[in-house]
Amino acid sequence: MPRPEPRSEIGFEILRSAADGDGWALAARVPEDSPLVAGHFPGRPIVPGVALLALVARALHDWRGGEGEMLGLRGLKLRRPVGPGDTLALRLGAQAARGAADEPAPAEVAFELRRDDRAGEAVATGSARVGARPPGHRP
Amino acid sequence: MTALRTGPPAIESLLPHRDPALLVRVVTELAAEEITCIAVVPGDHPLVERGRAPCLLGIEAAAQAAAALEALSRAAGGPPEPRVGYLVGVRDAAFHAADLAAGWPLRVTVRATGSAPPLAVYEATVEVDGELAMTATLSTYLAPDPTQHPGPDAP
Repeated sequence: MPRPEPRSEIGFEILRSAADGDGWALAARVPEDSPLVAGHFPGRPIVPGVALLALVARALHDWRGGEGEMLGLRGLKLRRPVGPGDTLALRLGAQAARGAADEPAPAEVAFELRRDDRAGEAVATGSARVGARPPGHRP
Repeated sequence: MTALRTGPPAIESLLPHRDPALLVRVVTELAAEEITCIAVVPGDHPLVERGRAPCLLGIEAAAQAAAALEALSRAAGGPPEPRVGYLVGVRDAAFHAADLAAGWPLRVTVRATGSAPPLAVYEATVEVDGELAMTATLSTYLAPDPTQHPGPDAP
């Protein structure tokens, strides 16, 4: 698997991103001064759900490189809010591919994001449609 | 859906978000269960890298448009009041674009397709220069108490 190019930490502190059995695991912390909660919301800082998806996208890219673009989502549930100081554990695992038999099917990758503490509460679950994006497509 | 003729309400009166998290800039069209807004990703948004944000940020723009529609519906002619709501689910989404340019207008249309207060479901599209960048079906939860998240049983 080619080494992914370095990517920014998108407002998180990435603690680990590595193969985990037949999947991938990433651990991250939300710094107390994370820019992700600026303006979201004044007086009640909550990490936007899309920032959690960006963390999933980052892990997909780390795992699959250029074949790991997030092309779509299915069944996303945002179960609990995440805020500054929270530490998160993300696990990715491949699912059966869907698609026509005569063309490469994008992979389905299940993801589960939990608080990395004693309770280990799930904060986000779902699956991503993953593959390579055709070059030059940029509306 | 018709264009607004009396001038759009100030977006800060509809949404609790503030820069750089505030993406929706103006409401351009409004109907009973549908809204179209122009959103812009600020250059200093934390998900922007080298002037571009991942297309998934369109989900946040759609959620903000849905919140604006909800605030306008709730106001029913009176002054709107922003309330904190939560994006709690995305049934399905397709990211047709790789990313979104910061500073470039996004046309965000959201249509309410189901509601069981405090939960609501919306179909959303995000277009850039007339091309479809994203589609999604999303669920939101508007808490009576803004500190209350629906928790693990959210749909």
